[in-house]
Amino acid sequence: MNTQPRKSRYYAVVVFSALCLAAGWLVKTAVEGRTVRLVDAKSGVSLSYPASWLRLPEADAIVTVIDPQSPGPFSTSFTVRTGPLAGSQDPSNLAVQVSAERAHSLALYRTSSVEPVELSGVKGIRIEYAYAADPVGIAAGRTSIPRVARAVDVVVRRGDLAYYFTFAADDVAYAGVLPTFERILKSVTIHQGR
Amino acid sequence: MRLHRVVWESGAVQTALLVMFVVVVQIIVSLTRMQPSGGALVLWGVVFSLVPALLWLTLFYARDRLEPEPKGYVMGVFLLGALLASSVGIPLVRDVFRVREWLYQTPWGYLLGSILVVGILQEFLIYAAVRYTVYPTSEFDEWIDGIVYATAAGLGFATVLNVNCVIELGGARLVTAAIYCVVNALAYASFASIIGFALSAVKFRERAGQLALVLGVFIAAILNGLFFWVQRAVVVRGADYRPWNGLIAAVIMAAVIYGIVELLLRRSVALESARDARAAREEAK
Repeated sequence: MNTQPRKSRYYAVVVFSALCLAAGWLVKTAVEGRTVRLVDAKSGVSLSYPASWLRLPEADAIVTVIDPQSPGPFSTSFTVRTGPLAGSQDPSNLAVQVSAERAHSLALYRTSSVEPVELSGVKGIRIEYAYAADPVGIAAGRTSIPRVARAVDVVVRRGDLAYYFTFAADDVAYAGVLPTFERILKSVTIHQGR
Repeated sequence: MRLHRVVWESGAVQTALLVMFVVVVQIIVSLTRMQPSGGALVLWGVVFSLVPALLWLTLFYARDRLEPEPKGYVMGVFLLGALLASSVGIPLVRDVFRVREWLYQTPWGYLLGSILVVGILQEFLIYAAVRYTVYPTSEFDEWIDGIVYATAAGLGFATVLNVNCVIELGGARLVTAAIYCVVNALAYASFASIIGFALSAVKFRERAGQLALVLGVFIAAILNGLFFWVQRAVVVRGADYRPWNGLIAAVIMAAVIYGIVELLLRRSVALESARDARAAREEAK
């Protein structure tokens, strides 16, 4: 009886398994790359966000989506809203106004960078900042340790209307999901709303 | 050469013992109403994870007296299966392919990912645990050896998956944990028996080519993916969690796989015996 395996018979398993794993990686990429297209006729904003993210009903926003697989209690989120903005069209003026709003509503608000941007042909500013978030809160009947959240506001202005594109994530998850935010931003188009 | 009835028979005994184990856990829990929590729950889960492997090894050593396989080899392959699961299988699935982030998003992604990523990776590692250790040695000298060693590797793999799951979840209800461990053990052991048969076929059958081995690993991977897809469908029904359904599905699947492997093994051994007899007759002429 032959008890010495012939090596040439065994390479095929290794090659075949490697090919299957490569095909599996393509499946992963295809699933993760799926997006949902949002078109808001009223504001004229349209964008694509990851299909695995959940849309939350929020009255004062055009859309709020969260990543249900965010690590920890503070969910990665992306929000688009519009609001009236008085004052000059100057970007530095815009940055001051947005920062003042944030500092008023967020605990320990700290700006890390401010730079001009252009989104869908509309000029605006990009502000990166951090703050202390309270993801569960005493109001929910539990106490929780505050989290450091990091966020980006991209604010563009068309007439007296400002468009806020806000991305926020837990400090530990921020770097990992920032590319997703950039992809969402790239998909944004702003048309003249009704 | 021994003509074995061991695959289906020992598979049936093993399966019956594992089901009895779950029933005993259910009876004890019902009678005593014990509800451990925290560390005790995790500890019970870890103990339950080890039960299928301990049962199989005990059965194996009790039956393998005529022409015993070296105990160290069988245990070594079992431990290697466990080691490959914890050092390669789990990290690759969890951290490189990050399947939790995408596998459950679409039905087609779940099915393809279960087969092409989880199934192939796990079954290849079980194959490797045998192929690159005991397989080239003179101890691997019978058709049944492929099934014995691959099953040992599969059970080692399943044991680590069970322990890992119990620890990650921080324990589970006792009966649920017992069923989960038994289902995994039955699944990985029966898938491994297919790989074991393919390994033996390639080693002992001159005409068996590369395709036999590729098919063995691929069929095991497909069954792996399909089985856990079916498990999910029968166990999670809306808001209900029905682990006993999963156990029934696992028992049926194991019986079918062991039955098929038994038939293939008998046929192969019979063919080989006939060939040897023909060769002996021709030599005598």
